[in-house]
Amino acid sequence: MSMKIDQQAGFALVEALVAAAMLSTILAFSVSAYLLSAQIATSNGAGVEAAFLADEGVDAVRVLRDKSWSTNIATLSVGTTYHLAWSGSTWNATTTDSYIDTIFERSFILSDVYRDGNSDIAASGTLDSNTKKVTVNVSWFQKGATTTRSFTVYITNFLKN
Amino acid sequence: MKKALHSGFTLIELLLYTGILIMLVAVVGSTLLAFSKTYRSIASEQSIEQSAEGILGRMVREVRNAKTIDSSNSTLGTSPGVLSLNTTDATGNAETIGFFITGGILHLKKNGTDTGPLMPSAADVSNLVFRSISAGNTTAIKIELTLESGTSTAYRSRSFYETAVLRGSYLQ
Repeated sequence: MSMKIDQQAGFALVEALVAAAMLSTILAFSVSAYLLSAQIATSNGAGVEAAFLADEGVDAVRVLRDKSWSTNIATLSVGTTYHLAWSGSTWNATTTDSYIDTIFERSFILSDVYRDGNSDIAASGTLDSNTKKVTVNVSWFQKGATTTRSFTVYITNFLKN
Repeated sequence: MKKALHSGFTLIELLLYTGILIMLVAVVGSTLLAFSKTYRSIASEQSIEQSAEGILGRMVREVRNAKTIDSSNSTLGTSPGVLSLNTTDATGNAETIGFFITGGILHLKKNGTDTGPLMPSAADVSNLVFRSISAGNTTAIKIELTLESGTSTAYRSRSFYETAVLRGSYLQ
């Protein structure tokens, strides 16, 4: 009788330990899953900042175009990486790199635009010196990898300046 | 003898189970604490993102739609900035659109009347500067916006930058 009771008591203890271990394991997994989803949910903040910075870059290039195509756009080399510098009153193109808020690196590259017989933009054809393709890139380093937001637009010398 | 042995085991068992229970309560408690901490961080991060998208999305759209800056009703170059734009409404009538901060919340003004906030109250604008860029015949606005939300470990702050050319200024 006493043997039986002792055995039962032992079983209950093992059961309790197993139950506790299972509960802890489930908790540990659910916590790590939750923290991962939380990390993903919060990691988008930098992406939102970068998207606005890239959009700003596009209009900053438009500011350069509006001031003067011949002195601000035509003088830039195609394929060269430029950065945008704020002078205090306007945007300027520069080859000197600088980080925005010590995190984001913004650059833009101009490409030549060619037009076919119908004056449509094509991969090859006649070089259109009054149109350029602008690609603005914003990169930042996050969780061991570099992420880039990229916007591409065409700008034209429609102001003929 | 038999009885004494039995009662002894029960005491040890009781202590063991109590110990296990305390450990479990501690684990569950710290888990719940971590959950609530993370939740508050996510909540501040999200209110900042929502505010930024709401504010800058609307601002950039209104700036691009505008003809000129209403300089006399704008505060440029310092924070908190005020921006007033001369623009046209959907039917082509002249209209002024304004952005101003009251109690840390950014509001939209239409023809001088406050039409309400552009952001949730969970976030605050801690810095807002408008700068006017003169680009020959056209004008552009540079916007610098810093938003903050939450307290202690859940405190978050992010800065956003935008530049938009007044498309209406091309027609002048």
